[in-house]
Amino acid sequence: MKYADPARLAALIDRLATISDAGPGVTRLAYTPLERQAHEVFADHMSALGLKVWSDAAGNTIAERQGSEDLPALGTGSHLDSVPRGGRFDGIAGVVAAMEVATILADSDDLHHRRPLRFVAFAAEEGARFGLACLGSRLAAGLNTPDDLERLKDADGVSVAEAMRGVGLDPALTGEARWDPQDWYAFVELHVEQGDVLERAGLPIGVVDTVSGSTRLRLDLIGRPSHTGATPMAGRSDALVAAAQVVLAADAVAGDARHRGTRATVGELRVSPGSVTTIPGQVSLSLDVRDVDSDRQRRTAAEIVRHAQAAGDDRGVRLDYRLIGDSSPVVLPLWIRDVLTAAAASHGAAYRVMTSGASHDAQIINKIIPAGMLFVPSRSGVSHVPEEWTSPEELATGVDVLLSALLRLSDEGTS
Amino acid sequence: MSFPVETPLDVQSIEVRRAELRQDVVNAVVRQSGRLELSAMLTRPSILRRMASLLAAHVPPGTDRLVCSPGSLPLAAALALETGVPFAVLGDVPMGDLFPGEKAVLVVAVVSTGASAAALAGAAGAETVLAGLALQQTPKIIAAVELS
Repeated sequence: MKYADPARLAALIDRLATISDAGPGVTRLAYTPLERQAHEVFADHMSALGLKVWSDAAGNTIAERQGSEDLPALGTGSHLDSVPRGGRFDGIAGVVAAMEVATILADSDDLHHRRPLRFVAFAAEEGARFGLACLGSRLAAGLNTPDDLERLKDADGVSVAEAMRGVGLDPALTGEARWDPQDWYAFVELHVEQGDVLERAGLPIGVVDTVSGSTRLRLDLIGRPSHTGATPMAGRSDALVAAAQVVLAADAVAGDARHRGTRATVGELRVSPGSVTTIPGQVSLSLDVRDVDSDRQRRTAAEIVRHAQAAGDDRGVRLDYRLIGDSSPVVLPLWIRDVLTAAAASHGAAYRVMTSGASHDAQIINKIIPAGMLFVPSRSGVSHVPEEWTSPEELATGVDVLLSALLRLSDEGTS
Repeated sequence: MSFPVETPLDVQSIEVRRAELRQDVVNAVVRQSGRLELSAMLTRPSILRRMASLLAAHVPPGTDRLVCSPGSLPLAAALALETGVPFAVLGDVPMGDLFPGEKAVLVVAVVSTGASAAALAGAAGAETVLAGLALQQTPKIIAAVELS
């Protein structure tokens, strides 16, 4: 039976998409007033359904619907922040799915669940602003301390802690946001695929078995700025030429036969002094290595650093580097995957078991409680851009499978 | 700071690596019914690579051969690639060579009882038993992952 309403889902997606900085797409960065505004939309919606709603010290917002028994709770949800000039579905689809599940249950006399259901909007999932992804869920999992929040800064030098204070949160209290694993049974996140596997296969549902990890580094190449005309080519210490070698090396390493499934990207590159007539003296670049293979992920990062060192040595350019984020890939529990595939099959929704190339809150939450993930298709596989798109009908299919899975999980382990 | 060629970026302690591997193995093999799907552990490169990496240090110097039964072949192959020690498969359809007098290490994907492992080791003439997963703690077996 179909419960989810595509039009209702589309309206929620559109509503949240209006909460954005000016410009193309959606820009709603971590720990900004806009992110808080989106959380208020979620909270207001859930309060109107009669759920108990609260926000924790990390800025995560949770809405709880009582079950028929006092048991460890089931959770579902995702995040409401975005990357700069991103799409309207990344993270938002999972929160909207949670809102729709809550609405369906509130409107139904026939759907019952033993376990309490908690619908979660995590804060600060995107690593675009501070370099470390999944901050809200990491704080819920007890993985970061207030000292970490003072240390992590954005491109303007604003720390996570300062940003949190700016929106009324107290970073010193983030320890209170930590979830008690005894209080939770499982967590399922619905997310857009952000790739094109499902679209190419014509499948409406993906069931995730492995979530990629990421190792992120900041590399600073320090050469010698000088006049472009007066300085002969021989003997230059051009930091940008060395950086170019690093970019190409990352691409080559991740693309070779040893690295099927590895991704390496230089997404940020800042050149100084940035003048037409001055040889670049300094280049700062980001390196993002992602993998489903834990050891290989770190070996790849180290290998690219070696290439950077060699490029620097070759050009008389000094290399400094530091780790700005690291999270391991995870295998999601097979027993939850069994429930998700059964739920998809019961709805006649063809599915594929697949990996997630992107990091997600479920990956972090899985460190403390069992978690699963469902994917819905992304048109043309694009994400993190305004063109990101999943149809309301596709999202509704995902919601129906999610609802079915939650109801099945609600009965798990209760007899 | 520089790293040797195959050294990972040093971001994890051995304890964290072991704990993550253990959790990934549990997550990979336990079905909704409670049955263990052990093949799911042996067909994932990310699990095999870490098991082999953790077990490699326990392959004694001078080891001539890794030996295994057919069911443990994936782990033995991974450990052979990690260490450079060749392997042989024992059983009805043997594969590879095992010559008299060779110093052998038995590689077992899963050990459920110490007695079974000891019997296998004895049959193979192996002094050392390395296991990917041990379902009980057994003093003479070195396991990458233990689940008591």
